[in-house]
Amino acid sequence: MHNRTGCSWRRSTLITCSAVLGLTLSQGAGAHGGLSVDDDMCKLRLGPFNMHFTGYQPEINGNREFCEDIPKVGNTIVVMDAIEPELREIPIEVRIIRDTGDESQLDAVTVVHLPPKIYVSGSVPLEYSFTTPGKFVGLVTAGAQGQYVSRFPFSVGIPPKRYGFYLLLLGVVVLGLGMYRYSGMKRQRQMAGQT
Amino acid sequence: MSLHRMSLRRFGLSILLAAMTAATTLVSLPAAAHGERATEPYIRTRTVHWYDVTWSSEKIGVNDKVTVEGKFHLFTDWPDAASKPELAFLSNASPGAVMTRVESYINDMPAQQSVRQLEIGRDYPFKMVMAGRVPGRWHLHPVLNVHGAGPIVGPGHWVEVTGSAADYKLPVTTMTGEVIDDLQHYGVARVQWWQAGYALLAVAWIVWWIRRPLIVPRWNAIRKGREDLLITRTDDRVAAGLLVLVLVVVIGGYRYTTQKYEYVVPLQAGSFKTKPLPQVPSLVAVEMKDATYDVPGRSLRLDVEITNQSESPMRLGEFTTANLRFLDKSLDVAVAGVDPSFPKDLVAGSSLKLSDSSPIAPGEKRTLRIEATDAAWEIERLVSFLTNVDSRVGGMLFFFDAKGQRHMAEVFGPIVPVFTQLQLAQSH
Repeated sequence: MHNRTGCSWRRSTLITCSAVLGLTLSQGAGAHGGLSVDDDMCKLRLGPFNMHFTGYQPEINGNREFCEDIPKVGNTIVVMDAIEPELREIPIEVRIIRDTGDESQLDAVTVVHLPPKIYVSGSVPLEYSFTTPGKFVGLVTAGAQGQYVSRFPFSVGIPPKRYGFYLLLLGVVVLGLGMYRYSGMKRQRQMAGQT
Repeated sequence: MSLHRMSLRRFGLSILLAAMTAATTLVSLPAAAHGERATEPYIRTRTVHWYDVTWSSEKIGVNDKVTVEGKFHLFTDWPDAASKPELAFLSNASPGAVMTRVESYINDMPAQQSVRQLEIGRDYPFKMVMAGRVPGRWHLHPVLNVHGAGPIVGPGHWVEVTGSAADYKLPVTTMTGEVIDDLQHYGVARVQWWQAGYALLAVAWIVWWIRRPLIVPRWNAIRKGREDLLITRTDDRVAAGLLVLVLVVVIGGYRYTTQKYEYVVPLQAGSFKTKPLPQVPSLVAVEMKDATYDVPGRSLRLDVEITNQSESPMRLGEFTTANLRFLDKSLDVAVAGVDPSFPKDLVAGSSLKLSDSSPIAPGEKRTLRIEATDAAWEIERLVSFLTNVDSRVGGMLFFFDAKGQRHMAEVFGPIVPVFTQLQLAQSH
């Protein structure tokens, strides 16, 4: 009995701590290939350089911005802004392809293509109207020989699975349960000690 | 379960929680910047406009000096949400005390103290002399700290400090002729000894009282009318002894200090007032008719009515706001106005686009569309003015007459976001 109580106490403490640890350390956002949220900004990594990635669906969401996945089908505007000034002096090529798993015939799966061009203003805008939900891949190439490549898969019109929200709720419940068990056992031990 | 095992578990749990706290607070990435992009755009575009800012050097050794100087214009359309510049302090923004500000001036007056009653709509020259202290590559900005509005940061330029931090010295000769070899360490050990001494007395006093039962037993004693148990004669003796000790230390310390340092100057907490630059009659009148920000095109479009009130033809050469400079690159005098030391990342790559770039004749009134296009609007985080309750934008227009003389004019007004066809945006 004494050992069982000790094990339960240890287990509940472990669960509680795991839940708290999970909640506190769950800061890193998931990244899609070359895209990630860094320094409170959606960034596209392109070799040693970075671009600020912003998506818009003005007819659906006004000027609300999104990063990575495109929430709904429809007219979509994506703008990539050069963070380092060096990117304004080298050609940048952008291609969006359907994610078929086979990229041997690139032109056949391409839905949008901006040929290599130097963007002096630092902004690379593209517009496309996605008509059906699905998975796509963005390919951004920079440099005279196309030596810097960024590849980022993304989805269109597929609602994201909000595991994070439910995990947060689960964590809070587990935390409460753990504290309840711990305080109950502590009280039992105190009563046992008094008798 | 033994008391010993319980204590061990509590100890283990405490260590675990402490480690978790440390993981969330101590494990952090170093800051890449010092917040120059964090200030709200309505402050950066409509309060202090810095111009003609130069840095005397990009690379200095420890103890060497770099001078940052230029002018700032206090914008007429100062936002209601920000306090007016009734009290301000000229400073520098850099990541920590990596440089020492050894001199600072506003309108040639020493600006070690705050300046009061700066006049909105007027211009002030400034100068700061900084000495290299810690080796590294540092982003150095001028800053005007406006009481109630916060720090308003000017353009920043990378300055490299070379050498060894151990070689840094800040020598000072006092009014009495005493030479202090290095002000950065002067008197620090003495201050620490005084602080440690007082801290020791404070801790001893607290320990004296908390070693006994505290709140509830004492409250019970009072309830039962036994206050006599709470403070003993020994407590009285300790308290009196401590009081005497503290007073002796204070009086003795005061006497020692006044004898050793006969002439002292208190910390200077006053402020000064200085005149702005002489007001130049405005030869160009500008009125904003419409302003839009093309979100995907990263383009600010201003429709303005310009009246040339001078006797010389005028051309618009530059639009500047929030330290960003948009130049009409076809106008040589405007391009030449960018000092070689000015940071390249704050000059737009593409030219300022004008619906009509021909000179505005004397007396002519012309409506002009000005397009300032660059990724910097987003990178510098300047477009949140689109979601502010006060969605306005402001900036300075620099005109140049036939002799190349510069004439400045403010432009400001409400702004709305638009989404244009990208064919238009991509043509930039």
